[in-house]
Amino acid sequence: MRVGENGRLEIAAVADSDPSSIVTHDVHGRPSLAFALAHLSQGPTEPTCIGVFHEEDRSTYGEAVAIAARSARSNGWGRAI
Amino acid sequence: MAEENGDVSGVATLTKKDFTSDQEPRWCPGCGDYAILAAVQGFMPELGIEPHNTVFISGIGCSGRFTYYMDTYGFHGIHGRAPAIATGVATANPALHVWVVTGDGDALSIGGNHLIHALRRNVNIKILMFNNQIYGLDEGPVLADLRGGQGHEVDTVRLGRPSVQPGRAGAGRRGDVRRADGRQRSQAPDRRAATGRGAPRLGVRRDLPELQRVQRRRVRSDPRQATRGAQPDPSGGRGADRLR
Repeated sequence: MRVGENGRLEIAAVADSDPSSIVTHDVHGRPSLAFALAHLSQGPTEPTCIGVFHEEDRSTYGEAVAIAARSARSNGWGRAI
Repeated sequence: MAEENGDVSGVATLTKKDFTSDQEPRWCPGCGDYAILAAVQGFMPELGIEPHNTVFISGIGCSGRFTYYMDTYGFHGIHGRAPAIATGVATANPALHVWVVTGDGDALSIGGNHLIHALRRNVNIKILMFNNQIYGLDEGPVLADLRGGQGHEVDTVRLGRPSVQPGRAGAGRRGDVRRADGRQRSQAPDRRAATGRGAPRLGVRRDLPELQRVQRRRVRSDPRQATRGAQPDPSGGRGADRLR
């Protein structure tokens, strides 16, 4: 797979491609590449990417809520009046 | 606070039977949902998380039946709102291992915004989306991820471009986005997606042979449907972009 002239991904023979245009997918890299890979096929008979598109380690909603709740309790919020 | 989805210590050896309910799965003959169900039931014991610490939450559609077939806690929610329900469950009890089972109609159409915000917040849930690119339970209305060429009746009328869900999720810097083929049991799902933090999306492509057979029969019996696709797009293709 290579990056074509218009920036779109296309399937091509390695021998016919500029080595710098051949796509190397990094799941931790640019999300725009994951987007382009997901758009590769427009029908069931076209090549379809399978596997991990994007991976990112970041805090979860539950962790943030727990921190906020602890902070609120330490400030005395939520106690019965 | 209990550790989020990670405490698997002291768990007895689990088997597929521990996650299989006494309900008989009922989908159309040959539906890919059977393979996905078998894969998940066979995969869950490998995680070492006991059924009573696991919750499957579904929306509406063929995929919604999934919760009845898993011998875990379950919640068959309302259309498109499974991510919202799961957000509440996962936030109230972080020790639970929360899965959302949804379809492309449930997740990408009526539940599109709930899905986006669950991903944006990186809620600690696992989203398993069955993608047949059609409203199977409604026998084939146009759907957000339809790409055409599958023999569906609606293939002859393309309304807008497909949403391409992994791209939508991946480009927005979500936690973890992956796609698998439901016919390849080894691909669906995988351990890293099932045990990681945050809200991984796992889109599973699947076939609907029974509906496709019905749709093809309809097309054959109504020649107008067979020729509809040959009509030129009056907008010259621009209409699809506007609808996108």
